[in-house]
Formats: sequence, C-alpha cells, structure tokens
Amino acid sequence: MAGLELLSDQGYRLDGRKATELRKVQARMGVFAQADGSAYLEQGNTKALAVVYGPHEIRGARSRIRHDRAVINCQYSMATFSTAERKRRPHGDRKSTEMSLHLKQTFEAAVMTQLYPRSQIDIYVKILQSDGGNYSVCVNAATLAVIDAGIPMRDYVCACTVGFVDETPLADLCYAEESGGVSSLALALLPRGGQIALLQMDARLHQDHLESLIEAAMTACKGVSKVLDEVVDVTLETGSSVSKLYVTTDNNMGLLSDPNRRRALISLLTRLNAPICVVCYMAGVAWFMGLAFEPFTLRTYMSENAMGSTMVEERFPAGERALATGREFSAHKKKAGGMPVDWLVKTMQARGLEVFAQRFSRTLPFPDENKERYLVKGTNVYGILRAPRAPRTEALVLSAPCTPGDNNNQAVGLLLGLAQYFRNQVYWAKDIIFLVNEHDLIGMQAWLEGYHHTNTTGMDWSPLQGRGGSIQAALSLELSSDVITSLDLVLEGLNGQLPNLDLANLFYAFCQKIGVLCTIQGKLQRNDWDSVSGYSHSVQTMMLMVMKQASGRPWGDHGLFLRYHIEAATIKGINSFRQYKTDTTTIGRLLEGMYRKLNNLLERLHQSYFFYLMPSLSHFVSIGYYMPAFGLLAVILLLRALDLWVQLATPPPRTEDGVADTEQMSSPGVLSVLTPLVISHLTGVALYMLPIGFQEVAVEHFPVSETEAVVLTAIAIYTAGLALPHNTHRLLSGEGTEQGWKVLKLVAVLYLAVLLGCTALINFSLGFILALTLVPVAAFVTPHVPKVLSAFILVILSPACTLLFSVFFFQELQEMPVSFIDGWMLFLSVISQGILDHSLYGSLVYPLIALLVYPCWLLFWNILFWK
Amino acid sequence: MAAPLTLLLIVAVTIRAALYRSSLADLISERVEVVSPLTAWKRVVEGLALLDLGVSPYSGDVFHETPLIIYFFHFLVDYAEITFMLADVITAVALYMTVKDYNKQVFRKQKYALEADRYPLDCLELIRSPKEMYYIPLKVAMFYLLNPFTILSCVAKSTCGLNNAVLALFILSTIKGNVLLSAVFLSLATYQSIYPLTLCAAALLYLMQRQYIPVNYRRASFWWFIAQYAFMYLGSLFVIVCLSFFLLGSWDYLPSVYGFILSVPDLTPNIGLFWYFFAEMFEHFRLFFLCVFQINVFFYTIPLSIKLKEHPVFLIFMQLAVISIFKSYPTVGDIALYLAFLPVWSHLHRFLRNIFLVSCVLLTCSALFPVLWHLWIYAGSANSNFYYAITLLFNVAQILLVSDYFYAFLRREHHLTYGLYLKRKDGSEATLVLK
Repeated sequence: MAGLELLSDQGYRLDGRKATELRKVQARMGVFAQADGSAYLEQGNTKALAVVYGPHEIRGARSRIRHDRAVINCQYSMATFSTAERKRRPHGDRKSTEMSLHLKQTFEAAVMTQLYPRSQIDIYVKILQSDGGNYSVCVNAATLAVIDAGIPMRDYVCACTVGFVDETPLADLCYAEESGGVSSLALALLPRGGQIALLQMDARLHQDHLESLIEAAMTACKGVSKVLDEVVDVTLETGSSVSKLYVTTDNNMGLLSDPNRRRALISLLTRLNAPICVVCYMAGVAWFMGLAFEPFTLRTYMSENAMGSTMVEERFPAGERALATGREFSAHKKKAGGMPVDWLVKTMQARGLEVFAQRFSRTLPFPDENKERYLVKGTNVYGILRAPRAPRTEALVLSAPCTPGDNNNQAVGLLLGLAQYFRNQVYWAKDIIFLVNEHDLIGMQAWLEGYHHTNTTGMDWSPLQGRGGSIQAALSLELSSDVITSLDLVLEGLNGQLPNLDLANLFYAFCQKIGVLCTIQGKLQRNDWDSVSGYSHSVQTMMLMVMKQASGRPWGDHGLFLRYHIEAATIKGINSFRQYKTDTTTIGRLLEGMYRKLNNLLERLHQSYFFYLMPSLSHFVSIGYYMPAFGLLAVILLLRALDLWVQLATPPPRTEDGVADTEQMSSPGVLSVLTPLVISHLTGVALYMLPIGFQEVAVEHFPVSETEAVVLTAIAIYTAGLALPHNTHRLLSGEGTEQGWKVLKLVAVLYLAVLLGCTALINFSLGFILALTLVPVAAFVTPHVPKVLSAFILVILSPACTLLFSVFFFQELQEMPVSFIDGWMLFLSVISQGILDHSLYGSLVYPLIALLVYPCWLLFWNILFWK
Repeated sequence: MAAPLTLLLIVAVTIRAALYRSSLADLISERVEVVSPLTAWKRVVEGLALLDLGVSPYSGDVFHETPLIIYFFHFLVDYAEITFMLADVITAVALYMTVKDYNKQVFRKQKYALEADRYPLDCLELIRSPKEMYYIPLKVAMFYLLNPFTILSCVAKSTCGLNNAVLALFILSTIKGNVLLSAVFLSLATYQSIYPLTLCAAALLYLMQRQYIPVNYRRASFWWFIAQYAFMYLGSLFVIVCLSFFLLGSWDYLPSVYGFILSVPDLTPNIGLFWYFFAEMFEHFRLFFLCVFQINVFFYTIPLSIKLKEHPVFLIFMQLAVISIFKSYPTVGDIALYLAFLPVWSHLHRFLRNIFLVSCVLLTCSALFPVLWHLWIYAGSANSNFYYAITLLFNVAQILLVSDYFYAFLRREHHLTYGLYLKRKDGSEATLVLK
C-alpha cells in the first residue's frame, strides 16, 4: 500500500475534503419529456442519467408477472467515454449485470410495488462520467427519476460509499480513493426510518470497525437525502407555477402593474390611515427637534478651495484713527441732519477712491410707524477702489448704513479706515466698493437697482455714475460702540434666502484665527451639547433662525444682495458679554482677512450649501437632513388624499335602485367644488388688494391713522372670510352631498400639499411652520366632527393665529417675553411690516399668505360647515 | 348643444383677452415651459423685422418657424392676439365636431355588435349609453379651451396653437372621411413640425376602414388606396414646400427649420428630455444619440399601428401623446392637445390603475417647474439638475398616463370578447396582468 497518502496528517483527503465531507451534489429532474420520469445527477465528477418508464404492462415473458406487485426492471450501463480510457462496453457484461441487480434489489425495497400488481417499472441508469461511487450515484439519480415519474416510494433511497483508512471512515469515495485500495462499503438507506435497503462490501475489514463505518455511511446518506429533498422542492415549486393560468412576474414596475400587491398596499394604507398620519406627524416634529442635537449635525468646513489653503497675514493698524474718523462723521451727520454727503465725498476722495453719489426718493404706501417714515429722500455715497492687478471685471462690496441718531458711526469710521488701508495695498484683483447707504434697506434697494439697471418696485433714483465689475460678495457692517464684546453674523435675507455657507465658514474661520468672540442669532456657542441646557440652547439658536427665515424679511442690509446672486451677510457688533473686549483694530484685521480671501475667489461661491440651518456657528444642518422632517408632514396630506380617493373610487354598497344611486354620485361634480374655490380665492384677492387700496376711505371715516387703517382692514377682511360657508351655500342650490365634500377635500388637500411643497423649497422655515399648523387641520376636518370644538381648533391653527403665536414665541426665544397687550401691538406692527416689505422690497410672504394659504385654509373651513 | 359651446367659447376668449391685458402676459411669454425656440413669438417678431428689412429671416439663427407662418403674420401681425384666440377656437370646434362624429360611429358599431350578439352576456355594464356620451364633445372642447396649458400657450402667443389647429383640422377631415383634405392638412402639419408624419398610419387605417377596404397587403385595392393617399400627401407637401421657396426665394429655411428640429442645436431648458442629455454629452456621441432620440419618436408608430389596427382614433391619441412627449422642443401647448382627448376615453376609467398617482405627479410637477426655475436662475441656490429632475418626473408621469390608457383600452377590448368576469381553469376568479 505504497504511494498515495489518502488522509494527510492535517486530516485532509486527496481532493481536499475532510473525512466526512461529501462531494458537491447537483441534480435536475424532468430532463426528458418522453420518459415518465427522468433525472440527472452529479456527485463531484461522477455524473449519471436515470430514466424511468412505467408502471406499464409487462412486456416479453408473461411468466415474470407477479400478481401482487410490480416488477422492477433495472438496467445499468456506462458510456464509452465515461472513464479515463475510452473503450466499448458491451451490453450485459458481468459488472453491469451485477450493478443492475443491486439497483433492482434496492428499489424493490423502496418502491411501493404492491400498488401496481401485474405491471412493470423500468429504470435505466447510465453513467456519463465515472469518478468513483458509481453505485451510489446511480441510486440517487434513479430515486429522483422515480419521484419525477410520480411512483410512490416509502422514502427517498439515498446511497453512499464509505471507505476506511487509518482508523477513520471516509465518506463518498472518489475514484482515486477507491482504486487506492481502501476497503469500501456501499450502503443504500431509507433515511427517515433508518432502514438499510442494500449494503455491499467487497474488501476485508475488521469486525470492530464495521459499526463505525456503517454509522458514517448512514450520516453521509442522510446528507445526500437532504440535497435530494431540496432538489425535489425546487422542482415542484417552479413546475407548479408553469401550470398556473396567469403568472405574475416581478418586474421593476411591480407596484404599478401588479394589481394584487397594489390593492394590498392601498388597503393597508387606508385601514391604518389615521395611526400612520399620527405617527408621521410625531416623527416629523421629532426629526425636526433632533436637528439641533449636535451629533446629528455636520461641522462646518470650508469647501471653496480658493479661500481655504492660502494664508494671509492681517496687518491693519489704524483702529484708533478709524474711530476718530467715526466721531468726525458723527459730528458732520448731526450738522447736516442726515447724510453728510459733501464731507463723505471729500473724505473718500482724500483716501484715493473714485467717489459717486446717488439720490433716491420713495413714497411708502402707508407710513411706517416703526421707523417713522413716509416720504423717504436720501443719498447713497460710494467709492470704488479700482483693482490694480486685474481687468476690473469683478467687485466686492463693503457697506455701512448711515442711521439717524448715534448708531453706526464707528462702522462708517472703520469703513473709511479700511478704505485708506486697502488703497495702499497692491494685491487687489477685484474692485472694492465702499458704500454708505442712507435709510438702510431702502437706500440699499435704490443702489442695487441702480447698479443692476433694474427697477422692480417703482422707486425713483438717479442713475449711478460709476460702476465696478460684477459683484461677487458683500458684507454689511453695523458697529455702534468703540469697544465691542462679540461679533454677530446675520445671514437671513429676503424671502428666507441664505448666502452660501462658505461665507459663514469664512467669518467663523477668521474669528477663530484672530480670537474674536463670534455669535449667531446673538447666541454664543456652547460645548456642553450633551446636557439638557446645552441642547435647549442650540434648539433656541436654530428656532431663532427658523423664525427669522420664515418671516421672509431681510434681517440686515445684506438681505437685498442675495436677490442678485451676490453672497452677502451682515456683521453686527454686540456688547452683551462684559468680560470680553475687542477693539476696532482687531475688527479691522478680521475684515481685512476676509476681504483678502474673497479677493482670491476665482468663481462665485458655489461649492458649499445654499440650504441650511445653523444650530450654532460651527455646526449646520443641510437640506438633506431637514427636508425629511417636512417630508414626513407632507406625506400625511398625500395619505389623506389617497384615502379620500379610494373612498370616492369604490362605489357605495349597491342598493336595489343601484342605477339611481350612481346617477346621484356623478352630479356633485364641478359646481360644488368650483364655487368654494372661486369664492375663497376672491376673498384672498380682497385680503391682498383692499388694505392698501382702502386706507384713504378708512382714514376719512374712522378715527385711525393710515397704518392702523391698513392693518385693521386686513384683519377685518380676514375675519369676514369666516362667514364664507354661508355665502357659498346660498350660491349653491340644493344640498351638498357626501361625495361633494369629499371631492372638495381631495382638491383642498392636494392643493395644500403642492402649495406647502413649493413654499418649503423656496423657504423651508415658512413651509415647515405652515405645515406644522395646517397639516393637522387638513387631516382631521370633515363635516361630521363636533362643530364648535373643531371650529375653535381651526381658528387657532389658522395662518393669522400662527403668526400671533410666532410673535410670542419669537419674543420668548429672544428672552424678551412680552405681555399679551404688547404682543398684540407687536402682532399688528408685524402685519404692517409684512405688507410694507412686500411693496418695498418684493417680499413674497404676504402675497403667499393672502392669495394662496388663506384661501386654502378657507376651503377646510368650508368643509367643516358643509351642509 | 350649440348654446353651451358658444358660452364656453365666450368664456375662453374672455379669459384669454383678460390675460393679454394683464401684466402676466410678458411673464408667461418668457417661460421656457410655454414657448420653445421654435414657437416663441419674440422670435417671430424678430423674423418679421428681418423680413421687412429685406434680409432673410433665417439669417442669424433666431427665427425657426416656417416661411408660411412668417408670411401669414406678415399680414396679421397687428391682429396676432385675435389670430391666436381664433386658432384655439378653431381647434376646439374641430375637436368638438370630430368627437361628435366619432361617438356616433362608436355607437353605431356597438349597436350592430349588440344586434349580432357579439358581446358576452356579462359585459352589459361595459356597453356605452348615448346619455353618457352626450356631453363628451363639449367636455373635449372644454378640456382644450380651459386647460391652463392651452391658456398659457395662447397668452404667450406660442405658434404651437396654430400647429394644434392644423392638427385638429386634419383629425376632423379624417374622421369625416375626406381623403383629400386629410392629406392636405397632414402635409401642412408635417410641414410645420415634421413629427405629425407618424399620424399618416392612423389616418390610412381609419380611411380604409371607412371605405371598407381590407387592410391586407395582398389586395390590390389596399395598395391602390395607399398610393392615392401618398400621392395627395406628397403632392400637397411639394406644393407647400415650393410655395415657401417662391415666397422666400431661397432654400434657407430647410436647414433652419427642419435641421433645427432634427439636430437640436438649441439646448435651452424645456419640459422635454433632450436638452439636459445633450448638454451633458460628449460631442462625439452626439450624432449617435441624436439618431436614437429622433428614431424613438417615430419608432412607436409601427407596433402601435399593428396593435391598434382596429382602433385608429385611439391610435391618433397615442401618437399625439408620443410626439408631444418625445419631440425635440415640446411645450405645454403640445400636451394640451392630447389631454383634450381624455374625456373621449372616460369609459375606460374603471380600468385605469394609476390615474390618481399620475395626476398628482403631473400637478405637482407643473407647480414645481416655475419654483425650481426660480431657485436655479434667480436665487442661484439650486442648479439645472433640480429642474431636469422635475422634467424627467413630468415625462415619466406622462408616459405612465398614456400607457395606463393604452392598457385600459386593450383590457376593455379583451373583456368585450371574453367576458367581464374571467375565470381561471379551476373556476376561481382570475386577474389580468399586463406584461
């Protein structure tokens, strides 16, 4: 027994298997159509084909007939090419006759032959490739073939050869092992009962080992039976589906084209509609509150390469002189009683700038009582520092407002100081425009319109005499004292537009570098995010940003730049953290650094985010994180719409006079939906047009000022809209039907969904706040809920009340709580400011609320009082 | 029925006239969804100015309408608003008459089939009654005239309205069985924008059915009819093309109109699928994909006309939809034309599967177009991908809508032959699945 080592020291066999490991078994059933049953089986490299005919009448010698059972006839053969040497294998040689006999005995034990008396079952097995274990492979293949033929068997017959080497039984021998002189044993087993159908052994073996060998053989057979079982299962599954009449297949449009699955989904959605809606609402709110939690936010980072890598050294020295200039400016301002144009022009010219002035005037639609102005006349003065190093196609703006009283003198002083310093530097590649604007936003609006040759709001201004290149970025400066404690960054612009986040990053990076305390929303950054107070601090900061953004107002002079694709922010000096002190030189250095970085820009700022919320200066929430909060709220509307659609689409339970029923169903069509739609929109138009149009009439007949007249008219029209349902019903002849309000509600819900979706895209905060209040209304209103209570809830959640609550909430966030009366006055002034913002700067919040949101809410109000 | 139609026309004209007077008209005529480089009124005016100066209107790559249009407006430029309103009215009336006639035929066919006992017994609820069919023509006119898409298109003075009118007249003359007029209007429509060429299959099928000519390529009468129609079509096309040549005195317009349509050099965003794809593509793939995209428009004609051989009017609807989705410069006006046909298929509603989803998506997308445009162009905070995403969604929704109607139509036909309540072999209730 020299030569081959059948089992290595590590316990591996020739082909790398472990001792008890089987070869890979693969099989297929039903390979031939004309036979009653057929199967093909591979076990390692041994491949066999089995075919079964029968049970049929006995052919040939009648004497073989058995009257109590079927006769099994087996034929085993090997293909000429099945072994390493190719040779003709005559039919019926001794070896194959013996094998046939073995097979016959095996299957007579397994097949329930007594069910087919006087018949015959033929099993033909052919070895296509032989690599040891021929007998067992034949048995396994024949088993599958018999099963395929549908002939009842007691159990699967599984066979396996085992050998014995070095005191170890080897399962499923291959040819090399068989011919290596192993004493082998073939065993056919009915695995479930553990009965042995056939056991054959040619070589010598010590009796003591027989037990363990048979044990190993039985384990191996059970392994084979598992594989065969699987094959049968798979065949049955695929085979049975072929006989189905209609086959549903999985394609990628499964949900759209498979009616059953879709029906199941829809029925699930309609059944669980209310709980899903509640869960969505909670999840939306929870998601939103989670946004302020620091681990869920991203750290800000500089995306713009041009601003990131280069180091600049800030050298601005002349803080004290800037303050002195500021004081001079203040004195001249007082003397001129407004903008000291001549002095400013002279001073700027002295610093080597090209100086121009622009006059503008504007009559407000009604007096602005907050800032006490009605007829506004003013002058903007600006100086351009021409870029010495580049073709002057781009520009940066630094602006400071000239405000009445003692405010912002230091800002103008610093601006002039920086202008002088910048003039002496050679590295500017962009024009720098130093702008002092009068009457804050109105002046800014005039200057920007003049610069860009547009006129959107019908303002009078003199055309600009000098212009720089296209403006890339702008900063607006507000400083009111010589020494400040921290710098506050204001980002919110017109209609909730924000500058590119890189501008905020730039500011933050320089504050860190120079060591200036910086805040956003007037809130310092805190490091204890894991404590409750730290979390509520960042929630407060974020909510302040949300409220400011939702208001759609420009919260600093920078706010109007954003409309022209110019990234801009306001930097405000604040004085509330006593222990820190920053002098003007440092602020000058900060601005110098920022402008030098902006000077390096090769393109407009575009790398970083435009849609974000900031729970602190160092962290932000991008659109991808906050949109799901809105999405969860919007999904509620879609679910409700789907529910209504399903209710409308499924016909009502058939009564006897089914025809008459369907007739009624189709009638509440156009008119009953169109009338409320038209009337509520007309109310909206009235709310938009009348307050300003009617002020003169109101002032004549009532003891109120113009501003009061406007605000009170608006409130009156808003309240008058609540009487709408009665008017609608008077117009509609006949009773509203059950179908009618459902159609109306479907329209209203879809309308609201589209409206809120569009709003949230432009101004996320506004969209979210509106969704927070209007979505519950839209979800629960039907004509069948208790009227008084629901009416109360509806009014509480109406847009105007949302605004009122927002006013109180905003004051609370700013830690300046107000009494109810003050809050109410504030509410009135907010309305007048909203209307003014719209007519002065083109803010969209007022028309949005008046023309779209309010009518939409009225539709729900109408549904509640549906008759 | 004349009174409601008149009322409808008056309402429609009033709305349009009011919008022409309002400040919205300028805004609308700038919207890329409403006007394409082919149909923009601004460009027509520019072309007219060039023509008045004695320069070829096609010099300078601004004007891309056909010569007939520019000579048409040469006389009517002062009455442009009235012309466009009139075009809409003509389209609506033509569609109204078309559908009225078609409904009559459908009803007659149904009566014969009923008398011949050709429908299974359980299909009685699928039979259409004249009562429910009575208002369909009016609804079609309403769907066209009061569709916001049509109104926008008309207010923007997009020449798409004129093309729609020609197409509507073509459909009308086909339905009325007037072979000559059908060929003439089809050639006019083809002359205007090439793509209506695919409608000739539907027209041929319809006209043959009407004249009881079997659709069988072994019959001489079949080929004879096709030859007749082709002669009339090509003849009138030849006349129109030559007329344009003599009016203009040069062949300039061929590359400038048809080359412009086929090679898509203008990648201004619109509601179609071309612009983003070709803006992003490497130049050396351009020709290949251009062929793929253009063949795509024409390709569906063959399978659709084989499948819908018996129903040429539905085929016309499908073709109009396919053209308006896949053409190179689609506008909302094109969509309005095939949307007008939806009431005709109102009896299919019980078989529609995704109509709710699809109409929601179409609605939302229409609202989001201007919003995302604003964010992209004015606010600068979004970019072209946002806009294209909406375009894509819009087109997918349209495709779903059309295929839903197609499926519903086939399914109804199936039920009319095999019975409404299908049984499996084993007797349980079966469901039909489209694959």
